[in-house]
Amino acid sequence: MTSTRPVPRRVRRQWFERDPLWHKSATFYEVSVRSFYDSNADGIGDFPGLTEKLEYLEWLGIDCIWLLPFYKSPLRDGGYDISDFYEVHPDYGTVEDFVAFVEAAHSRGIRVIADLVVNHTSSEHPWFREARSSPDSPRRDWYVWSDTDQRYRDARIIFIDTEASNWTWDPVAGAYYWHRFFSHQPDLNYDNPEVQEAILDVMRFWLDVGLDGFRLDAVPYLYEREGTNCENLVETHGYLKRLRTEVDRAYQDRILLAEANQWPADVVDYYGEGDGDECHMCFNFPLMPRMFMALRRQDARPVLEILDSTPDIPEICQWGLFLRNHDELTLEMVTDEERDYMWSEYAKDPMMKLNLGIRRRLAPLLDNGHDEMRLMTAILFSLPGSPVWYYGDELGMGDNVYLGDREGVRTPMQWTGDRNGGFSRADFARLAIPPLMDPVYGFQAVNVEAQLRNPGSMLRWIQRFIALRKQHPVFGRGTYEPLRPANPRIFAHIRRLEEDIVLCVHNLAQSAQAVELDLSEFEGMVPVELLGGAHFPPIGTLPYLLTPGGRGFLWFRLQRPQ
Amino acid sequence: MSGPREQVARGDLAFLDEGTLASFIRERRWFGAKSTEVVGAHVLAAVPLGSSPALCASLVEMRLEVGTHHVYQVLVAVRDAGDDARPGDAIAEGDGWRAYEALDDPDVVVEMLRMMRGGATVAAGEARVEFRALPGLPQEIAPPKELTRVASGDQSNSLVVLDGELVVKAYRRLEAGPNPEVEMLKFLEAHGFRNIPALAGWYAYSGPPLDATLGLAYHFIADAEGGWGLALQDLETGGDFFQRHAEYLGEVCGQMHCVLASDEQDPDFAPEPTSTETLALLAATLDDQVGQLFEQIQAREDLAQAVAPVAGRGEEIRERLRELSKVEAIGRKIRAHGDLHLGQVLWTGSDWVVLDFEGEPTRPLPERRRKRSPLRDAAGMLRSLSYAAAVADTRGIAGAGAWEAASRAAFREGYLHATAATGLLPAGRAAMDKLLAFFELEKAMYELRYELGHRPDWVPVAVRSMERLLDRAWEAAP
Ligand SMILES: Nc1ncnc2c1ncn2[C@@H]1O[C@H](COP(=O)(O)OP(=O)(O)O)[C@@H](O)[C@H]1O
Repeated sequence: MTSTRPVPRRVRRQWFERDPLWHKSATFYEVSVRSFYDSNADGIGDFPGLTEKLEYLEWLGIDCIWLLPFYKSPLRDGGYDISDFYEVHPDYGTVEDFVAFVEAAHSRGIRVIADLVVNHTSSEHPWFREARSSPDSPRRDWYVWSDTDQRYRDARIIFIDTEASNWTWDPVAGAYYWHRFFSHQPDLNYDNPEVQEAILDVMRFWLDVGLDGFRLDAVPYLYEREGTNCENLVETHGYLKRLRTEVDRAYQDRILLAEANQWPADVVDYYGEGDGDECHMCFNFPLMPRMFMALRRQDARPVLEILDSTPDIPEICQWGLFLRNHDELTLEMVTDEERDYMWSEYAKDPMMKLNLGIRRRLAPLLDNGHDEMRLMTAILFSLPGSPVWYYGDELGMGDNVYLGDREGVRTPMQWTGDRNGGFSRADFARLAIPPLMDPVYGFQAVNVEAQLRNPGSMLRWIQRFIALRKQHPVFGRGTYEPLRPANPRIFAHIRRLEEDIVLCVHNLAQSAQAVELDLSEFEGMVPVELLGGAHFPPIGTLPYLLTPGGRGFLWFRLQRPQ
Repeated sequence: MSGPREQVARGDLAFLDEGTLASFIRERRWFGAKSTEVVGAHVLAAVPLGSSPALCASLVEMRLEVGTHHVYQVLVAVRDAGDDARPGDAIAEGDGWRAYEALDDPDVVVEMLRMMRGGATVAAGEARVEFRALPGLPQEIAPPKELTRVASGDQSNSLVVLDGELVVKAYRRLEAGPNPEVEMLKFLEAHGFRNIPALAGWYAYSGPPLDATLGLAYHFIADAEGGWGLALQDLETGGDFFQRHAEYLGEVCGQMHCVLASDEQDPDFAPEPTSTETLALLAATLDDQVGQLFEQIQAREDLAQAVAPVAGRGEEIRERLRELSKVEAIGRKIRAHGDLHLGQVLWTGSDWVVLDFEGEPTRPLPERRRKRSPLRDAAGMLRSLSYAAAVADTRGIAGAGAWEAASRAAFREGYLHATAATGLLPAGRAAMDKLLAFFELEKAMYELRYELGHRPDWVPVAVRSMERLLDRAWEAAP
């Protein structure tokens, strides 16, 4: 069965070679339609605007775009509060504009996945309006109601800055309703088979149109059970298996990417059992704060340790690796002690904190240190997984902590040094989110146009780096073999895919370091530096000595002697 | 009993040893990864098309170094070893049978044209090959008296000519998505552009692992001469052919662009405004390529003397690219030819015909379909005129400079005349000169890189041509 709704128009042509593992060697780019490019001068980014900018993303080397929610919504949570799953928010255009966008992206070799919020809806969704209107409403049971706010007390509160309880009293319904996030986002009741079907329908609708998959928002929280923390329940996994079965049955090369902000051992459950029967990809949430920690401590161990405790995943699955995204840098999956450390190092101003995290972009987190940005990118790109890049970080864009909630990291893309940073031709006062204008990160200093002209810019560097990674499938598909040299400031490892062997050495210290690596296994082979092609001395029987500069890195292909 | 003949007629190629197949493909001219190690070959799909001779269209994967591959179209036919007809290159031979690449077999080509005529769709499991006819296809397909091979200019396709009337062109290396050639020819024909060969039909594959155009048929232009040969002849004999016909060539190219820009309703062809980044993105890419190109030049000790005149001029090129990419107005972007040069035009004695609309075959398919400034095509032709002059120059023929200047000026005149007042080109002479110079520089880099990689003998020509381009101030173009 396909969606019960009529499909507006399908993407017409098949632009990709079939490859059920495409996600394993893809570079993803996360973009907010709202903030990318405004084509009709109303102050808000839109799909025709994004379509116009595809040439930029193609140049950058992006394989797949991840769209933040673009559905109809009162936008009280950046669109994660959906009020109609089948409509595009009028600010961004029409469903037809959306199809044209996907088609244009495909014809440039770029796939598109989109956020799908499965856990909850907006309180303005007609389903909820009906549900609250009467206990006899056929939709009543689509949400989770209670006469008391004392049930499921073991479930933590996620948005601790705004929410006091996971229950909110609804005077219209005369009952409490359950919500794991904002109180205007009532959770759907997955115990109800109609809800299960309704969400499957939504999924089929967008897959029928031509979407290449979904980033499933907030998946751990679908079911509630007394006496548990209501996360990662077996019923939740059961439903994900159902989604997956449907995707595999009726579609080709589509993926599910789970947002499960959990400890490694729990995250891997979202890949499912056996060969992987739930999500194709999961974000690696625990890794990201530890990369920042390692950098600040000039010590590789936090990264090594979290990777050591990360279980293997099925062959067809892949980690989504990221440095920053549209949310706060979440510190849920760290110890209290680690969190205090992160806060003290990276959020000196309390304005920068949000919930259990830090609402800042990559460049400001790293004090705009270009060596640091490159090093962090290199580490990210060297690890097993597919990098998910957050729009604007390729320029080293900044943030605006004075904007509420997470809007500060969702400011308009900075295209030029002209009015509104080239984002929109609307009057400044009409802009949905003001662009950055401060002297360091503002659009006059940081923009695509200027960086394109400068061969040494962050943008040009990232573009070359993405291209480099793409030339070596080993980065997406190879093994990860940590080397553990005696010098703890060095993070070094081997990636291997058949005959393709790559050695990655990263120096977390601010000063140059010497490191001896045990490469005896590769005796006789010649390390060839990947960026410049220089041949290094062959590997002998003694430990191999390298001296990376401060915050520097060296990547080599190990070549057999001719 | 079931031998290879029956198997091929069923679409079963299991009898072909993969090693044999790999070495067969590796030795074809159209195999595009000659310098790369081949790990193996594998038949991905085989769709049976007929039984006399036994024929199937197959997609074969050539596995290259770790994790990469190419997909090629191979038309496999089998005849009895005793058969008098022994057309095509043998892929494998066995007890009483011979398997061969079938495009040289007149019976096969006729069968394929008849399938186009009949609009056949052949399915084998998930795989499907569709044949379609267009108005240029004769009603009756008679067996040809003569079937000749034409050398593919790009070396990436196979072309055969039937009785000097119809050309059948098969694409070898396949990429996902429709090949621009059928799309372009159809569009041009439908919108009244006459200076192209009439399209007769096409065939395409869909299914695992990709959807792709496999080939097409179009009219042969009899008794025509190629533009490149004419140019060299002109230069060698001091002729005035281009003096007389270059302006009209420019007009034809300009008209072609006007037609390509004429349909706002077709999203694949509707002209688009050029965004602010368009040129900057290209400039950034070229800027990086200059670095790579000059490293490559430095590394070629065998060609040190040949490259000496430009060896130290990388920075100068980068500087110039940066300068030229600062244009205020770029005009509109349209679907264009993509690989326009003298080798792609024929003179029939009274008119020019433009050929080969598949774009630069070394570039990925999505890039070849991209809308671009039409000036890139114009620059390609200008560059080609200069290239011919550079050939003459390196052969010590006098007068190349004057011939070059005159034919370029004439081509330009004709081109601008045809495109005037269309809004396609940027307003103002300065912007246009800059853009043309930019695209010529791009082309000159491509030429030098191509010759370094493929035809070392030609490096002096590319160098000479690049040198002349650099020495000419762009303001003074042509
Ligand atoms: N319709 C035609 N009429 C006459 N000659 C043709 C025709 N098509 C191709 N040719 C000849 O074959 C050559 C190669 O054709 P082309 O379409 O450029 O193939 P390729 O893309 O493989 O180079 C041309 O340069 C031309 O000499």
